[in-house]
Amino acid sequence: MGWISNTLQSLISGIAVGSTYAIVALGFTIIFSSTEVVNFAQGEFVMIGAMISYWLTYDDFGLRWPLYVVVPIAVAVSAVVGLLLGWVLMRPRKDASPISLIIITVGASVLLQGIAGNQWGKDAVPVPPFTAVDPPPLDLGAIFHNGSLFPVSVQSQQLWVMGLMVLLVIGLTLFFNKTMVGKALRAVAVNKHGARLVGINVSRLVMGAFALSAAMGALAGAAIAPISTGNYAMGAMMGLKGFAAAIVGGLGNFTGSIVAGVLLGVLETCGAGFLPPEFAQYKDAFAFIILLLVLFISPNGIFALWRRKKAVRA
Amino acid sequence: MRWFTAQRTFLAALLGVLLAAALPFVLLHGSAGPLLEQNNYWLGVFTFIAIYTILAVGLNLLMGYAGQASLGHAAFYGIGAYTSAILTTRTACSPWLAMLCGIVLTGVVALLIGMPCLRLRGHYLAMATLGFGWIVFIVMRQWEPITGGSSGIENVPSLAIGGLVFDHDVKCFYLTWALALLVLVISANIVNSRVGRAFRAVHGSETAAAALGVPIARFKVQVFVLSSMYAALAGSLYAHVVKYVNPSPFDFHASVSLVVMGCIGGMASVWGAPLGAATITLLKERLQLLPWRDIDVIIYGLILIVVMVFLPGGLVSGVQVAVTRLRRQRRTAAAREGAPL
Repeated sequence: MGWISNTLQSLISGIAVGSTYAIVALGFTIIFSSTEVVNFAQGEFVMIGAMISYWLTYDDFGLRWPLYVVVPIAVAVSAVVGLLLGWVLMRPRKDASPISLIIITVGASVLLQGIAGNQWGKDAVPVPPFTAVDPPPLDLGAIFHNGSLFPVSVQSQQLWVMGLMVLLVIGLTLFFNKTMVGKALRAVAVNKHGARLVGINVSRLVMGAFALSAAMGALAGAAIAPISTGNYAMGAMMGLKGFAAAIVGGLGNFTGSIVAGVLLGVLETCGAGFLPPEFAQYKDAFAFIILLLVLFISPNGIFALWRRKKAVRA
Repeated sequence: MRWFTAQRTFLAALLGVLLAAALPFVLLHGSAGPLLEQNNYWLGVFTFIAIYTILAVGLNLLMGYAGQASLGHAAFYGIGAYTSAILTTRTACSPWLAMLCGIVLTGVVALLIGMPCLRLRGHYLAMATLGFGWIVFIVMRQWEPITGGSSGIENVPSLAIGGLVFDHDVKCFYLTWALALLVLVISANIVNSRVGRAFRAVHGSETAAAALGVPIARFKVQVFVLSSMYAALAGSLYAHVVKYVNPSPFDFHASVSLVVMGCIGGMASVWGAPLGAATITLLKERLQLLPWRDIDVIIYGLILIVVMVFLPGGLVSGVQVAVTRLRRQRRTAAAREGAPL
C-alpha cells in the first residue's frame, strides 16, 4: 500500500509546485494579452520575491524582520521593478519590431539575475515558512476505520501556496470582471486602438499590468521558496515552466493557464517519482519536452484540441 | 547596383583578409623564433573573436532576417564542440570528419526544434531554445560516462591539413580567421542572392512577403538551421583550438553574450558580426579583471536594454540608418539650393 501513499504525497507536492507555475503562467497571460510581448523577465519576479524574503529574514544580515512585513515589501519591490520594465518597453518607437521588445525583456532578465548574483551569491538560500507548525499527517484510516491507511504528511507551506493560488484566482476574476480598471485591461487585450478610442490610457494600463504580474510573481516566489529554497538563478527555470504552462493552456487563456500550471507541476513531481534515480536530474527537461510536444501537436494549447473536436461533432 | 554590391562584398572580404593576415606580424613584432610556432595572449583573444564572429553572423541572420531570437545558441555551439571532442578522443575519428558530424547533427536538432516553433507566428522559438539550452547544459554536466561531467574532456587533437598541424596560436589564428571570413563571404552572398531578397522581404513585412508567395515558415527554419550549423562549426573549432571542453562556456550566459554580440553587430548585417564579436570579447577580457561578482552579466543586460530601446535594429544598422538619413537630408538641402546633384 506504500505506493498509494507515495503517489498521494507526490500529488500534493506537485499541486503546490504547480500552483506556482500557474501564477507565473497567469503573469505571462496578463502581459501577453495586453502587449503581445512574451516577457522573459517573468521568472525573475519569482526570484525577487524569494530572495528578498531571504534577505530580510535571515540572521546573517542581522535584519530578521517578521514575514508579514517582509512579504509585502518583496511584493512591492517586484511591482516597482515590473512597472519600470513596462515603462521601458513603452519607450521604443512605435514601429519597433517585436523582436527588439523581446530582447529588452531578455536584457531585464539578465540584468536582474546579475544584480541578484552580485548581491546574494550563487548558493541556494533558506527562506522561512509562513507558519512554523505543520499540520498532523493526513490519514484516511484514522477517519474511516481504526488503523493506518495511506498516511500523507502535508507541510503547512504547501497549504499556503495552494491557498494563495486560489485566493489570487478569485481576486483576479473579480478584478477583471467587476472593476473598471480590470475591464479596461480586458478591452486593451481585445483591441488596443479601440480601447484608446474610448478614452482608455493604454500605456498607463500596460504598465499597471506589468506591475500586477510582477507582484503576483513575487508572491509566488515568497510562498514557494520555503519549500524549494531560493537561488539567484531560479527565475530562468520558473519562467520557462510558467511559459510552458501558459502555452499548454493556450497563450492568453486564463483558465487554461491555471489548469495547465497545476497539471505540469503534478506531472513533473510524479514523473520524477517513477524515473530511476540516475535520471532525477533530468526532471527539469520534462516541462520543455511537454512544451515542444504541444507546439508540435496543438500550438493553441491542449484545450483547443478538445474544443476543436467538440466543434467537429456539433 | 548588383554589380556594386558584389564588388563591395569582395572588397570588404579582401580588406578583412589583409587585416587578419597582417595582425600576427603586428602583435609578435620583434619577438624571436619562427613565426608559426609562437603563442601570445592577444593572438588567443583574436582567435576567439574569429570563433565568436562565426557565431554572431548566424545570430545576426536569424534575428535580422527571420525576426527570431535564439536564447540557446550556446547549446548548438556546445553540441559542435562536444561532438568533435567525443568522436576524436573516444573513437579514431579524424577531426575534420568529427567537425562535419557535429555540424550535421546540430542541423538536424535545430530542424526538429525549429519546425514546430517557426510554423507559428510569435516568439515560441526564443523560449524553446532557452529551454533547450538548459537541457543541453544539464546533459553535458550530468552524463559523465560520455561527456566527462563538469571536468570535461581533455586532449582533444588539433586539426591538421597534411603535415600542417594547427597547434600554435599563430596557426590557430590563421585557421579560425580563414573559416570566419569564409562564413562571412558565404553569408554575404546568401543575403545578396534571390533567397536573401526573400529574407529581406520577410524582414520588411511578413504579410506582404507571404502575399508575394514567399514561403515564410520554410525560410525561417532554413535561417535557423543555417545559424545553428555555423554555431556547431564554431564549437568544433573551439574544441580543436583549446584542446579541452567542459560545460561552462556553453551555459545560458554564453547564449546571452551571443545575443548581445548580435545586437551590437546589428540585425540583418553580416559585416557587423565581427564588430559585435570583438566588442564583447574585449569587454569580457576587461571585465574579468574587475573584482565585482557577475559584473559582466549586469553589463550585458544593460547593453541589451539600451541598444534595443534606442536603436531597435542594432548598433550597426542604427548607424547605417543615421548615415542614410544624413545623406538624404544633405541631398534635399542641395536640391533646394538648386545645386546640381
